[in-house]
Amino acid sequence: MKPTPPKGALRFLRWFCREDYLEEIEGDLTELYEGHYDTSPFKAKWKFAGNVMRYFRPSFIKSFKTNPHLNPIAMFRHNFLMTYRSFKRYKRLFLINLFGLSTGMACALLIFLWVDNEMNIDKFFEKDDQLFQVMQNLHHTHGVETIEATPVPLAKGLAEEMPEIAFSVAVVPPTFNISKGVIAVEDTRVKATGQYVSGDFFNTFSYRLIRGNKNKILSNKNEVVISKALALKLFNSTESAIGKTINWKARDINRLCLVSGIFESPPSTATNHFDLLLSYELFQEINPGAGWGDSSPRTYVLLKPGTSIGQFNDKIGSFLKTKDKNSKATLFLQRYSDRYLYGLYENGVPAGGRIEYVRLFSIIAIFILLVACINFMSLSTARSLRKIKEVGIKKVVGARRGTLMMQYMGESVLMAFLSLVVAMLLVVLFLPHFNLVTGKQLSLNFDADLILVLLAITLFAGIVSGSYPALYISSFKPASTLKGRLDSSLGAIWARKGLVIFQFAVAVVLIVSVWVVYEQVKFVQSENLGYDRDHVIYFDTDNVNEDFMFKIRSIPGVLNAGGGNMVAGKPLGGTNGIHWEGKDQGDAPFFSRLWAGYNLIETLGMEMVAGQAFSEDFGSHNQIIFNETAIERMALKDPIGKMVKIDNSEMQIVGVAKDFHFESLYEEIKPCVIFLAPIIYAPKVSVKIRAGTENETIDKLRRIYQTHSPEEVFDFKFMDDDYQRLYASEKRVAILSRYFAGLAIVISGLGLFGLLAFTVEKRLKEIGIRKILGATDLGIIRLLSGDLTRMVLIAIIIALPLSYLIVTKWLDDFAYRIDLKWWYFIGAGLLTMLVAWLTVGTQMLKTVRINPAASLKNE
Amino acid sequence: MKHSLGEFEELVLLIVGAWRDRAYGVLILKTLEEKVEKKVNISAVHVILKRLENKGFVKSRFGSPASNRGGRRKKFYVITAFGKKLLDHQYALRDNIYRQIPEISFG
Repeated sequence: MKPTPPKGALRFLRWFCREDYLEEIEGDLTELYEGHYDTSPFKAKWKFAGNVMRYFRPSFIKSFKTNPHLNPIAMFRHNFLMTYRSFKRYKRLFLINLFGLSTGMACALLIFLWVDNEMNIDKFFEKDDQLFQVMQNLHHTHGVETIEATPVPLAKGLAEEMPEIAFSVAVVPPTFNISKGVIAVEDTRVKATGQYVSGDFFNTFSYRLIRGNKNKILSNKNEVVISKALALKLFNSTESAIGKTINWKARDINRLCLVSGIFESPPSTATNHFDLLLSYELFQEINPGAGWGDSSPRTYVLLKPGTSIGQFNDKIGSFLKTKDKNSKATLFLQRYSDRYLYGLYENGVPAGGRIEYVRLFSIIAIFILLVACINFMSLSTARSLRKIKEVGIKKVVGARRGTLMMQYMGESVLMAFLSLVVAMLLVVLFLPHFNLVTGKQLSLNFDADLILVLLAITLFAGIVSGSYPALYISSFKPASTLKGRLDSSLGAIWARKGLVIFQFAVAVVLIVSVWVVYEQVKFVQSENLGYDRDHVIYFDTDNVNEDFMFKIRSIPGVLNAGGGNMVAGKPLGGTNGIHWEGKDQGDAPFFSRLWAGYNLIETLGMEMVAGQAFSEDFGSHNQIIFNETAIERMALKDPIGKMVKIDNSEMQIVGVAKDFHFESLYEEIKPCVIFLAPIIYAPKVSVKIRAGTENETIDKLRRIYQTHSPEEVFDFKFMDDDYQRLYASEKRVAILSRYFAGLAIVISGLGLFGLLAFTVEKRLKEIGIRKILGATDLGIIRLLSGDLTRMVLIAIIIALPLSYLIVTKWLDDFAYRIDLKWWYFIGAGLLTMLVAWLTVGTQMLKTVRINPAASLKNE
Repeated sequence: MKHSLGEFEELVLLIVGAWRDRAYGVLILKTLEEKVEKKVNISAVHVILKRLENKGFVKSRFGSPASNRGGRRKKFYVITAFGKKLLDHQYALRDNIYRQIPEISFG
């Protein structure tokens, strides 16, 4: 046997060496090698390799440059022309691709606009990275509760003792206890949202102050700062507003304030919207004696630059202990702009929040885009059969694989850019509707960010959808393609099938999710809350008395009416200062607090499991009602008639209310205590109206209201509307995901349609022959659809467990949720199958009816 | 004549001429090693051959495939008339100058 020179070295030589020298050098080296081999095979090998290395020098290395005569412009023009012609020739394919890609891109773009907006909420502050909110963890025996409310003196205390803090401010938010106040200037009355803020408000938050000194503002407790919009509304100009007095009335405040500053209203990306700012001292004056044990205002701090947030959190954790030895609360900071997206805490640990939806929709966007790209991929690979001759000729003439890949990649990128144009049109068309559904004011602003994202989306779509066809088509062997034989490798077939399976799996997952979201939202809306919110309206008033309530109740359309602070689903304030017989020392559970006047419980149709509702016959105001959970928590047996001590006053338990959902269904029902609200403490009046008489009854109510308190504005809400608003984001998700699921399935269907059209065309002769040989229509349909059915089935099998995981995770957020029924899954599967069959059905029928003579006539 | 040859180039050209039309890489290498007793690498021989060919002093042709070379053909080099002339010229020049050395004993 002849010794063969080392393969690696030889391959290397062949790779770099000039072709006209190669044979001579290889021959000489081999001859020498054989000579050396007889003496020492080992040395010969090394010598061979060494010699090869010596040829690795400029005069022997071949030119790796492509043909210097290549004209890139001509090449691109040629490629462009080819693309144009193929688009023109296969119009249907082109339209399917264009439609699929552009809807996919439009979806991705809309979602990007939404996500971008969500990510920018509250990010507009100048010192965003230094602006933090102080949060409070309440450590109960049953776990940790995280709340925003902080002790009244906290802002001041922190600023005095912590050198890291540049500014700190206490803010009583506009949603707190009161909804809106009334501003009166002479005869003009306007409802406005006010909040009480301490002195450094404008130093901490960089809202723009148009007039006034931000260091001195609100130092006097009778000052007020109003928004520009409000100033224009009240005084017609910002200049003349300064120094004017306005009358601010909200619940228990009624006082004249001096306008000392004007600010620009917060932008639409702000979470906190307010029309006027009042002095924090005013709030303290109204709520005197609030100390370290109470919690109501929010506290915000602006840290000095370079402060380590981790260390600072350690430092302030036990701050409250130094003020109040009995305090069971710890403090920590969260970045203010993170509050919006990461607002949820479970047991003191961050638990996401809106960011979940941001992530969800980002993922949906990517998947829809992928599904659209896959259409392009599978259609182009399927079409590649038509391209084999072209590829063969090009390769023979000397095209390198890279050049061919560039060509097909270029084709898909061009397609993507065309789709971008259509997608932009679609976005412009659908943006108003999208804004309606999402409740945002999104618009297409062509700034650098957007253009970058557009480019990114387009290139992503172009490159992803071009990648596989480019790799696949350019891999054909020229000799076999020119002989007209295309070995469809198993890999290629599987890849194509895999793509279709992937598309349909995505569609199934989306359908199941949409179904479950829909059922859950329906469940939430129809869930028996334990009180009846239908036909109940409520409105604020500061001027309640027996006479007023009597007049209201005597309107024929009013079934019942009662005062109290019950608002649908709104988290309530509460207390942990309730003492009862047999309570453990050191146990201080938190009770949500509800104020109810006489008749409120009846008005809302709440059931009592024991005892009775508040009654005037009882003869004393010291009545109290707990819900079932509270009684259980207190471990009271026979609660009716027992006394409890709250803030030094003894109250008698008169009844136990059946558990009802006073918060949203995300929350478990918590212990709740219902105080009897004296008339003056019941600023919110709920009225149950006889069904069908809403309009005239509300008219009558308005008349009574206006004669009774002419200085106020009658502003009512249906309780059900408020309740619906609680689940606005679920509803949005439900609507949006319905659209996206629909689109995903339409795009997948389109792809399938194109693919089948192609296969059918390829097999037309086969079908003709089968028909001649006596195949039935049904047999041919089975032949053509069998493959498809199998693929969709596999997709369903893959998708169902996946969608089960996804929906159970989503439902986990709800304390009260639907049970998953098997038919959600099977139904989604069947629906997908149906859509798949319908898409291809027409095509099938057309094929089956074809005259075999026609298909066999031409060669 | 403006062309001139380096020492090694001259040697290779001489060997090509001496072997008439049977000179090829390995043979030239072996001759060099025998006659000059100098370690030379085959790549150096190839470099010189290519240079000589480019300058037109030798020309080449392929022989028939040889089994001891893994089936590759040998490339034979032949000296061209131009190459021969260059050699003649060079030797004439040297001879001429050489003769002018006086017959003095350099002992």
